[in-house]
Amino acid sequence: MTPTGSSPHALLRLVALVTLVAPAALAAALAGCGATPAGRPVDLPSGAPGIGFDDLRYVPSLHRLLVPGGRSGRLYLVDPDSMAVTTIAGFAETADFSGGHDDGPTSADAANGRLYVTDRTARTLDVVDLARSAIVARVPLAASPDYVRFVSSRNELWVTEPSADQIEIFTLGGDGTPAHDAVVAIPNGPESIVIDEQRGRAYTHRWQASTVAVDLATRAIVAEWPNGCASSRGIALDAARGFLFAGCNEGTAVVLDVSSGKILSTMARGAGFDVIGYAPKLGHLYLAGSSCACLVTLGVDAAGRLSFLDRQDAPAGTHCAEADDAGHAWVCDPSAGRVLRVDDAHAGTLR
Amino acid sequence: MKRLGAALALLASAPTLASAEGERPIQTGAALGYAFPAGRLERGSRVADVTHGMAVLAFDGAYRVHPSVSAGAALAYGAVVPTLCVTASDCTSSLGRDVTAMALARWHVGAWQAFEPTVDVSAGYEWLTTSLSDGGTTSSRRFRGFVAGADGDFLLRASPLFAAGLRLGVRGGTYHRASLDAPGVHRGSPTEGNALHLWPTIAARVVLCF
Repeated sequence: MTPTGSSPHALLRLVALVTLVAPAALAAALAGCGATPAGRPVDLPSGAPGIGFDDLRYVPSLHRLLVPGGRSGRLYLVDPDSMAVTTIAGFAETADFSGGHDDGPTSADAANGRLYVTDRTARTLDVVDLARSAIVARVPLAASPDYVRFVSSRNELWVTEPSADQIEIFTLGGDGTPAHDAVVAIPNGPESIVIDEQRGRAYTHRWQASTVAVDLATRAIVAEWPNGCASSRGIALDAARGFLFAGCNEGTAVVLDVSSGKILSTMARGAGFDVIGYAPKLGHLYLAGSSCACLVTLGVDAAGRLSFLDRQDAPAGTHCAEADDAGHAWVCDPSAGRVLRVDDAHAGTLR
Repeated sequence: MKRLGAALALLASAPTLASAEGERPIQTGAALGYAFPAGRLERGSRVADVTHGMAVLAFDGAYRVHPSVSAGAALAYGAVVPTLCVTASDCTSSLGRDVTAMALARWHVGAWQAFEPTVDVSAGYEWLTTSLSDGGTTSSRRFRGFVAGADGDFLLRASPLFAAGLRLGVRGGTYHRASLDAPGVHRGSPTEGNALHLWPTIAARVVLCF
């Protein structure tokens, strides 16, 4: 070997440098892989093959988290304190988990001592008698369902049917059986829905760019606002303060003023958000993202401004979060067929 | 050590090609490679949240100011691969970009027959845009800040004019400004927290000397 410019030691130093730097850089790039998700897991019966979660719904009057088990054919009611699980079976069940949330029960809400559950496979709206923990009635839906929400002021159920670009409205009879009443067209939607009883409106997203307000009485779209999302997903409401929250798939959280539609604040952290949760007592917004495998907690102040509070590791593939009224965030873990309860140690931000 | 010795001996036995770099003070280079995301965009946001990495095309020029040192500048453009698009057209529309302009200093480690390794250290400024486009609607997050980098080039000289080889490097820094452009939102603000991001890079590189 005949070096023509420098000593062999220089070459050795260079080789050593690259040998050290490249693995370190790769290690840095892979940091976070296999991280343990935050929170205490709640295993759901028959959840092991995986569950396609599409809606987590905390019902204060029941003090239970409703967890529709897409694929497992079960609706789970989770006690947020003891984490005990009550299971209601009888919905459409499939053996294999496809990774999506297109099978069986996918959304639920409570009304007048009953639970109403959409079953995507059967394309039905099922009525569950809570006292008997059993399905007591089943009515057909006009199209494949996404979400069901109870409108207490009108004793109605509103079921979003994005495959038909509509919301299907059911009135509840004296025995609690739903009867089809009308549909509201929401072109390029509806994605998610939240009911604002105080203002007599429902809010739902179009798939891109905007959120619409639907009058509960006239069932007409009465307002449409840019929502800061290229890809609209989750929705939540602070009815008392008039804050509407939009969770964008790309990782942006947006606060809108429901009186004007004005965007009050935005914050981009994480990515892959879908179902979002909000704790009105704390003013905390929870967003779980599949791309970041994270749970992001944001604070909301009295003016609607967002602040970053925390980011914790979450299961890979998570896309849904919900809040209870006992200081917890809940995160779904589809591939393991379970949910996790995450303690929120941050002080309230609504000051 | 035996293997290393054998490798060095193999290099020494390679046909000797004249290295006339000393007579050709100007070096222009191009590199095409891939950069992996690491670190954080700002507090609570990781680079890997929004991108799987980027395909990078870089150009540089340097002038030999000393037998073993050159000084110059580099410009790199990266096509930033999004994490979240669904359809092919949305993925194409969701490609982001990363532009870096840097001043560089190059150490010519030496020459062993045709093998001429160099090490670049650089410092400059970076503009990163990540996007998600869905059905024609786009949301873009932009970051900018100061960066520094180090690259090792493992070049084989084919002629006094031309050399080619492998580049391994890492570039990193801190973004000090972020902005969001989305439906109804156009805002910018300082980034939150002191977050370090890195782009470990592997690339093929060619060099022309004049």
